[in-house]
Order: sequence, then structure tokens, then C-alpha cells
Amino acid sequence: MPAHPTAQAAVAELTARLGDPDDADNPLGHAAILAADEDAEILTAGERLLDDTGLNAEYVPAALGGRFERLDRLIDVARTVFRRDPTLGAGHGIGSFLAAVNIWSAGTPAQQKAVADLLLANGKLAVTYNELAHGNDLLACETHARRSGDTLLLNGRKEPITNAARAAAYVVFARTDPAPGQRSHSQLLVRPADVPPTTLRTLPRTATVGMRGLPLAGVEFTDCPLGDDAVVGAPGQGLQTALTSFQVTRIALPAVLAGALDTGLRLAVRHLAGRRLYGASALRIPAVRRLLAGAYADLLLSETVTAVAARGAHLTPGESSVHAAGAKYLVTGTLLGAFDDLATAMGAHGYLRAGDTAFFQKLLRDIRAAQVLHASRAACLLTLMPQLPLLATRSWNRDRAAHAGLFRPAETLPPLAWDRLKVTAKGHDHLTPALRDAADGPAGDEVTREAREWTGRLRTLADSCAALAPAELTPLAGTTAYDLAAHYASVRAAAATLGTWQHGRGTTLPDERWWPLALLARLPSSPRHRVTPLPDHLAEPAVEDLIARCTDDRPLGLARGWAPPGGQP
Amino acid sequence: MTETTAEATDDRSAAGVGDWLTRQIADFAEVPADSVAADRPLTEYGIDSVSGLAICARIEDHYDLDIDPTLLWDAPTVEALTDLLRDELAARG
Repeated sequence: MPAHPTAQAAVAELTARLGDPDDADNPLGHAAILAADEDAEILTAGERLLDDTGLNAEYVPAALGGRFERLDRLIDVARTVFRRDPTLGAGHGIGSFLAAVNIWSAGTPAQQKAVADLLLANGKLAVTYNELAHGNDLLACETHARRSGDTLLLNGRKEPITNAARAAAYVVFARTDPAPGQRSHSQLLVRPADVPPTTLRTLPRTATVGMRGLPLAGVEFTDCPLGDDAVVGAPGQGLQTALTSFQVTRIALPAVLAGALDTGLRLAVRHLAGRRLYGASALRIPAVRRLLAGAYADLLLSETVTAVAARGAHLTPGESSVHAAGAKYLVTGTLLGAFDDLATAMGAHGYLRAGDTAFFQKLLRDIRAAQVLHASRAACLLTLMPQLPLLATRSWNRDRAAHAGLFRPAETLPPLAWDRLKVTAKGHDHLTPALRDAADGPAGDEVTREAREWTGRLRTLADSCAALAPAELTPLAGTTAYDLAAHYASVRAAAATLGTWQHGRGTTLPDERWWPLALLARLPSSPRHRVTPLPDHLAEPAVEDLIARCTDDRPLGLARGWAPPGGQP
Repeated sequence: MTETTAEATDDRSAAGVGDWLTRQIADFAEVPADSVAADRPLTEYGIDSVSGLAICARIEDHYDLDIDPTLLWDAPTVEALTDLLRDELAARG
């Protein structure tokens, strides 16, 4: 018997305590959240609730007193917060998680204990990679720590940083060796309470278009003195720690952001159902139905891709760099596209700051601004690009077998092995062989036919990538490799979809063939293609399912089927 | 691709490993093997993160080893790489 509630119980409790979103008197409802957003403040009542329910424990490994054992559970619980208010989700806990993974993966036992205790006491941790001048170009980082006797003196300026002004500790990415190369940076654990106040200064808050309530600011270190015990792991390990930490956070973040689309879909369906245009409900307008169906397929796609990636971090940790970069690139783009479609369906009401649909424009802005939380989509492509030729020669052009466990959300998972997360996949890919498995399905079946199309696309991708010269894979070399990397993210999403269709049965997944077909239809079919609207024969069953689930207040997502060992989905 | 890279060698002595590695670097850098100095950083021969991955894969395939993709981060010269590989091979027996 687990000492803590199951994911389902935790989600149910949190949902109940968040209360009715439409109740104007609910301090955690949409009206209160909108008021906080107008004031550019984080929802204080929401933070209090999350503190009361001990949400931070979801981000702390079980071995250190928390409840984090499985990435899928963490996603399920955190997504519940993002479904209500993405700004609250970002500002309360997930920001701390983005920082803490560095400590879980590389910190000393003392650092791990200190950070676990800090989080379990409802403290916040801030991760500071960003410098305005260098974005995701980590090696260009100017913040540095130089040795002076027994002390490291930290100097530099990091911004924009979530929770910069109220974090109990920072994980600072800094240069610790002037030599070139990948062993010249370290992460440093800095507690403002432990350093002279004049050496650590938080800068004025940064305003944003969306996630307006998120307390973003800069932090500046001036000869900030640190002991050697501040270095996370071994000196010079910083880049490796960062890259492996991203493999967990680049899965978790897009997965929880999908919660915003769940709410956006419900708002759109409710609004359009109550709206009469041209003598009928707006929900009967074919063009509106197609937009809603596409956005719904996008939600299912986002949840399927991130569910598979989350299992991948546990089951094929050596490949987590491509699981994470592929999922983050694809899902963040999918969510943006889905919100565009919903906004088109909503028309002017998608942008009104008052009235019944006001919450939609907040979600629309929040999802766009989510970029401030984490690595850019281009950075994800840059993770995939150098790996493409080796993936082609070592996996795509060979008869590899898929890891079927990736596609079985109801099955148990081994613990996350931080030391088995590697900075690259070394050409190994146990996901895309699922395409070939699905292509071997019954002839004449539409899913089989689609699987054969995607198998062909993987073959074409392999030919293009095997022919790439190293010089074509650098950030400045041109757009070809970017396009191929983006297409690889689509091919992976197709494999996740088809694998889940084949192996994910017996869970809460719907057993209807429109869903794999609709998800595949939302994926760009070649490197330079864009997302297209769903054809009517897929859009109609999708939109009917969406409307029925919204009407009955049932979950919209796919990735809810996992059960704890011995439990029920 | 030069002829030397395809040449099979089972010489796992320090000199054998060093020679083989030098030929790989020369192959990627498209320079003669005798112009690759064992103590110079591989980056001087144009080895970047992309060719570094390919070199790691070649090492794995040639010696049937499972190496960490950060190998070249820790061993940025032929000399250092030879030492690390010798240790790996010795550890495997």
C-alpha cells in the first residue's frame, strides 16, 4: 500500500479543492483568476491552496520525502493546476521543479536533502540559465565564478527568471573555468540567506503579455561568495547536468501546458453551443466544427506524445534527449496552432477581456507567453539536428524493434535513473519502429494504410539525414537540417500515436479508429508542410466526441489510463 | 572516406589504439594522418559536436564498446582519448 495517494486520488482531490471555475465567488474560480491577471499578480489564494495540499511534494523524489517517482504522475497532478490557471502552475511549483531536477540528477546528498526540505516547507527554487543577451546559447553564458582562496566569487546577471525575487534558493548556471569546451561550466546552489545581501540583488520585475501574474525578474550577483559545497556535482559538470535535466523538464512542461488547451476547448464548446448564428447553433456550422475537431485532435496528440515521452524517460533513458526535444518541439507548436484554431472559431469573443468568454483570451496569452518558462522550440531542434545522421545509420535504416512498453500507459514503470540519461541518444531509437509494426496491420485497414505512408516518410527522412554533412548541421548552416529535425519530431509523434493505438488498449483510451487517424492527419506530412484541417470523415466523429465529453463533464485527454501497480485505471 | 578507416585492426595496445584514433580524426578532418598531433585539441582539426558524435559511434562499433556520449568532452585530444579507451578496454578484459 503506497504511503501517499494515487495519482488519480491526488488529481481528484486537487480538482475538488479548486472548486467550480464558474462560481464568481470562488477565490480559485475564473473570475478571481482574471482579476489577478488584470492586476498582473499571481493568484494568492491558489498558491495558498497548493501549499496546503503539499503540491511541492510531487516534485520531490520519494526517497527524499516527496511523492516523485514517476514522471507521468507528476504530469497528471501538475496538469490539474495548469488546467485551472497556467500562470499559477508556472509560478507555484513547476518553476521549482525545473530547478530541482538539476539537484536530483547531480547534487550531493547534502544538497538534495537541503533542496527537498526547502520544497517540502513550501519554499521556491529558481533556475537561472537565461541571460538576455544569449538566450538558449548556454555556452555563451557570461555569468562566472572564479576562485579566490577558499571561496568562489560569483558575478553576472540572469534574466528573465521565474520567481527571482522570492526564491529561497537559486540553481545558477555559470562558467567556472575560462578554458573552452564543455567542461567549463557548473551549476551552483545559491541561498540568498547565506550570502551578504549586497552581493545578490534582484532586479525590477519584467512585465509580459501573457502569464502576466508570473513573478519574472532578474537576479544579479556581484562578488557573491560561495563555498565549494555550492557546486552541484563535480566542477565542470554543469552542461551535462543541464542537458540531462532538460530531458525531464522538456517532457513535463509541454505535458502540463496541454492542460490549458483542455480548458480552452471546454470554453469554446460552451460559448459556441450557446451562440445562434444564421438561424442555428454555431456548433452546427461545418467550418466551426472542423476547427474544434482539429484543436481536439491536437489535445489528444499532445497528451499522447508526452505520455509516450514520459514513459520513455523511464524505459529508454539513453534516448531521452530525443524523446524530450521531439516532444517539446512538437507539442508546443501543436498547442499554439490549436489555440489559433480555437480563436478563429471564437471570432471576436476570443479576445474580449470581459464577459463569459474572458477567460479564453487569458489562456490564449498565457500559452503564447509560456515561452518565457523554458527553452525555445528552435533550441529543441538544435538538440535533434546533430543526432540525425547517426539515427539514420544506426536505427532508421536497420531492423530495430520498438519498445512496446512506451505505449502502455497502464503499465508500471521502473524508477527514473538519472545516471542513465545521456546527452545524446547515440543513434538509438526504439520509438519509430512502431511505424513498421503498425504498417504490418491488416491490409485494407485505413490505419495500416496511414502507417505505411509514415513508414515511407521515415525512409525518406533516413535518406536525407544519412546524406547530411556535419557542416550542414550547425545552427548557422541553413534551414535544411532544421526542417529535417522538425519532420523527425512529426515522425516520432506518428509513431507514438500508432504505437499507442496498437498497444495502449485495455486502458481508458477510446477504442475508435478516428482518433489515431485524426492525430496523424494533424501532423505535417513532409519537412516543409504545415498542419492542415481535418477531413470531414475524421472531424465529425472527433467533434461529436468532444461535445459529448464537454456536455457530460468527462475528461478530454487520452493519457489518463495509467494505474498504480494493482490499482484500477 | 579514406581506405584506412575501413581497415580492420585488432591492435589494442596503446600504440594501436592511438594509431587507429589518429586515422579516424584525419579522416574526419580530411588531412593526412601524420599531420594530426596527439596532444593538440581535436577542435583544432575541425572536430565539432556533430563529428564528435560520429567519432564516438565509430569507436563503439570498432571496439564493440558502449561509451558515454560525453567521452570527447573529457578527452579532447588523441592522447587523452587513447588513455580513456585503453582503460575501458582493459576494464572489459
